[in-house]
Amino acid sequence: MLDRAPSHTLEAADTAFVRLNDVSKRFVGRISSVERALARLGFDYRDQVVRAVTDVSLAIEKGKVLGLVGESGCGKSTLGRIAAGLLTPSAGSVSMGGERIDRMGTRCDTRTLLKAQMVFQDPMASLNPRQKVVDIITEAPLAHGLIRGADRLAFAAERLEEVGLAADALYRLPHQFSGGQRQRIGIARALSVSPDFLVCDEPVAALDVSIQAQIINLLMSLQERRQLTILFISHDLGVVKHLCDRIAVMYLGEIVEQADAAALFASPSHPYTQALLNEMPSVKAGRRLYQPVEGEIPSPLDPPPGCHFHPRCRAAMARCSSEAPPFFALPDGRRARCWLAEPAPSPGA
Amino acid sequence: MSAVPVLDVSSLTTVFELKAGAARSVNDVSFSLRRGEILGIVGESGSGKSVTGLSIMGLVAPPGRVVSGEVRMNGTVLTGLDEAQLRKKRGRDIAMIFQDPMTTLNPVLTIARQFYEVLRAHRPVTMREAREIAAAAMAEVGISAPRERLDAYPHQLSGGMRQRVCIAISLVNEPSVIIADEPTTALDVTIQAQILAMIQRIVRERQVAMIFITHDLSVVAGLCDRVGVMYGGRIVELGPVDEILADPAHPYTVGLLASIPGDAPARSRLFQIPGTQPSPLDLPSGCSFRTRCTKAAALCETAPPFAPVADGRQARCHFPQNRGGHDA
Repeated sequence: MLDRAPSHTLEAADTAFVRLNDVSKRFVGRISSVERALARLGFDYRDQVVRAVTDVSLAIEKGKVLGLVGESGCGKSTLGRIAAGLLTPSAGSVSMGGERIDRMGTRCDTRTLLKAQMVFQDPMASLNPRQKVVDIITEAPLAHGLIRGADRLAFAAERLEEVGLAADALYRLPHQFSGGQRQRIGIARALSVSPDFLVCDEPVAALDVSIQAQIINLLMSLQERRQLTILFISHDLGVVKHLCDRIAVMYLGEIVEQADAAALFASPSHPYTQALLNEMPSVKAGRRLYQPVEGEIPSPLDPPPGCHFHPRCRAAMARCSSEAPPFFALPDGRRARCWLAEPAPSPGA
Repeated sequence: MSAVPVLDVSSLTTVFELKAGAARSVNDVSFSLRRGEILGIVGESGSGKSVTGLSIMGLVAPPGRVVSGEVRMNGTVLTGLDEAQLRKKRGRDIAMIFQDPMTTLNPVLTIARQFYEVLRAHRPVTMREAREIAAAAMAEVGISAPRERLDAYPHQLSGGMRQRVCIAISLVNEPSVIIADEPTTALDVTIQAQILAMIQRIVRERQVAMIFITHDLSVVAGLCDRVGVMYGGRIVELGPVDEILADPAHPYTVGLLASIPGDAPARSRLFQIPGTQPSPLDLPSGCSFRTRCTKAAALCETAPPFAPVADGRQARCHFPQNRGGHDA
């Protein structure tokens, strides 16, 4: 392990291409003016604040794939949208190749923003049902002056070929394709502005197993050919294990563990990661007794104090319910937000 | 596990008469089910696995129709019953759990009321008795503080909790067969594991027979005793789960297993089954998989029989993989 360059294991590494620094996102449900008046009279009305993402720092090296896993409601899609520049974070910053893309700093250059693109889970919802494929693919590059109107057909055909579709698809509408083909169109659209960074939000979750394999293979070859940096969001640990170089595990708005893919699957250190891997469905594992973690994910409106995972954690200690653990650095560039990972005080001290 | 099957399905065929033609969604499906056994039905979307479940329940709506075959349960031929007789069976002798509990539960009735309706359909019961039975059933499926939840409405419960309620409702009349159609697909990994653990325990304790319909081979691997793999409306392979997963006989099963990531080396190219599933309106003649099959030959234009390939195993293929697993 030591012969490996430890650069990308440190968040401060200079080689990181995409960097999220202490990103937080809160969604506030404001109370009405009547409720506000009542609140002043002593009734219990207050703004509802959802802390969807709290103090997340991530770094992805150029040409690498970072997997972001977590269950529904953990904030992974919100984080993905922030990374792609679609949502403005409440605090923190996002940069790509050294330039800010989070729209919080001064004006961002559109050309830079275009370099971050997104592939969504449900292509039927993310493709305009009335737009022909040729328009879906060429709308953005035409609007931004990346191609000339005269080249649009050839350009669209080229993009289609790149994602494995024939040119006769150009004049058809999204509903005329199967789910896997639609996802290919979604990928072609993302590639149409030559991005460097792709955020894929559950791109294969809605697809059948045999089609899933086709899209995963396509993403891998595109990533290699175009040297893409990818943030791959998924709840499917099998897919993430197959595709990603490094993995971040998210629970209730926070990253709880980050590690290289192989290391994480070999020996997870956070109890939540351990629980996830234990329940990871596998064909090879054969018949088994399920021994699930108990309880459900708490509401992000009212997260438990201390470590967010402590009500469900088998290893919870007294301090877990009062003190939130910080990130502890572990060997092999792994980081875990758990008191169990706290280094023992050195005997000399 | 007793040897006498609780449920016996033979040559079940369901056709949807559409404007565009007749779609054979379920085509000559045969299997049997014993007490205390979980049979997985696995297939991709459109393979006919859900329609198989609905056909057994007698719930196929027009333009769909069960055109031939027989479903026999504890000696009664379900396919010969009229709607009134079927209603007496459904919910009492044979129950179904659907993928989305929000569409199964009535959104304007309290949980207690939903139990009451299911109980009262089959026997005289007071609301007070129904509440007692409901509270016990909800405790059995792992709902904490069941009495407090009796007066809740479905939208006040989480997704996992709703599915637990649906399972509890399916159990109250003590059916001998339960058909579960993708009951954990909409749930998160940790919640899915909780529900599967509960299903495993209930099937063992109550010795019910269960058909578990899913697209997820890894769930089948963890939960089921036997599995039927469906493709194009047919069961193409049937047998014990561990044997089929370790040593599949049908080329489709082989391809499906090879295309799952997780067991392959990281970043290796996954196996792709060429092409896409044919439309049930336009199935190839003979073996419906032959257009995508690497082993297809002229013989495959005639329909292969559902022939035994090993003890307790059947496959619908002219060229099943060699037993022993060293076939290329």
